[in-house]
Amino acid sequence: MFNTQDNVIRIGMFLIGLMLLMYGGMMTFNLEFFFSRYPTINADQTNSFFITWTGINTLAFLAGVYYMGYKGLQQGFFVFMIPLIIGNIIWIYMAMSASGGDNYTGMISQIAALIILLVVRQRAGYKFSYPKAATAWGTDDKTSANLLYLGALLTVIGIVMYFVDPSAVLRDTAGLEVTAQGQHYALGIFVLTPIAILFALAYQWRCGVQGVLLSMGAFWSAIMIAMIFNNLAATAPGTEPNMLLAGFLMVNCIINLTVFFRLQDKF
Amino acid sequence: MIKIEDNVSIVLLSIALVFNLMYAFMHIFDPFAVLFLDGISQSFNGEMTADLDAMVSNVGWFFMIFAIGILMTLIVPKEESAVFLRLMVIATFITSIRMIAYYMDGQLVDPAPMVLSILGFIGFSIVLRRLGLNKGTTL
Repeated sequence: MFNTQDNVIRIGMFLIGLMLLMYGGMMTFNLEFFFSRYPTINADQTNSFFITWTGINTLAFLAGVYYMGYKGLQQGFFVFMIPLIIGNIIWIYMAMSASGGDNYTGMISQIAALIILLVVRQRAGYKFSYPKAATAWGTDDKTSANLLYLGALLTVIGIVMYFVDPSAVLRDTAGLEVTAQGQHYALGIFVLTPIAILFALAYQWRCGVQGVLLSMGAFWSAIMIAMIFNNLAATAPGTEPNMLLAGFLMVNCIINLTVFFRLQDKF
Repeated sequence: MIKIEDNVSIVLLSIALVFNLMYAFMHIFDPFAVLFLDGISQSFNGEMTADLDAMVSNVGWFFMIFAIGILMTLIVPKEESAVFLRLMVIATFITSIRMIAYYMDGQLVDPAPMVLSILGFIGFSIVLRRLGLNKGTTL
């Protein structure tokens, strides 16, 4: 597994996969248990919406671990995951400070995941030098390259839009309410995760696209399209669905899937 | 990454993957499941009991398992997917017959599940045929 004989890497990646599976599964499919473990988090529809979204993201990261289990480690995964987990640790610290929560399980598991990823990265021999590919994004396919530029632009626009009006998504999405906890979840979804995505895109722009990152994007997109359809169908009659958010996500999904299918024969 | 070389089959399987995921989430998550049952059934009273919730979730997880199977079909050589694709053709055929009967009985208010199961049967049949995996074909 992971195209290596190094057992430290194998065990480390197994543990990362286990954590992602546990949190992804719990946040997506067993919210009751999640809320019971974190009593300071309100079990309302707004928090449920964002926790499920975070769970889907986590399952997409798990898909990356599975991908590398078969295809071998790729540096892009670490370029994405390490900033993401650092962001998560900051996010959890802010959440616990605001709510007074005393369940440190999430914080400890994130710190453990960061340490494991750093150890695995070190054992894999990845340096802090990033050799430049022959072409931007490492591909001659102009359509894919332009879509990746567009994806990076949309990611930046998404972050800026959050700072312009942090409660816009909560206010404009049917069934959600503007709450302090909801806004904090929105910070994680619309700022911290996109920052990690920008790291991944910058890395791929310089060094070439990575199969693990494109596969994670395709996996996430397939799930999100299904969820968008369900959410649109479930919007109460007479209520205006948040078409800006749905459109924004659909465009991202189309970019991810188009780039994946155009470049999938390279990896 | 994708081992199947026929683009039509890739498109059909990708569409089937998304629809299976959609139906999986529709059955697994309570709010979606309640609306779904409310939309298709005449006898559902809007109350999701624990037993009904468990059974509906099970249906959702079967859709999820099929979605995983379709994903695996896309990324392995076609010969390794022969049995799965045959199973899907038979499963969607039986489902189509059942849905047609339900609809004709009047138990099914919304024809969408019937139409989708028929389209699923046609889609998987086309994939099976285009990949040369239909019965009697030498692999």
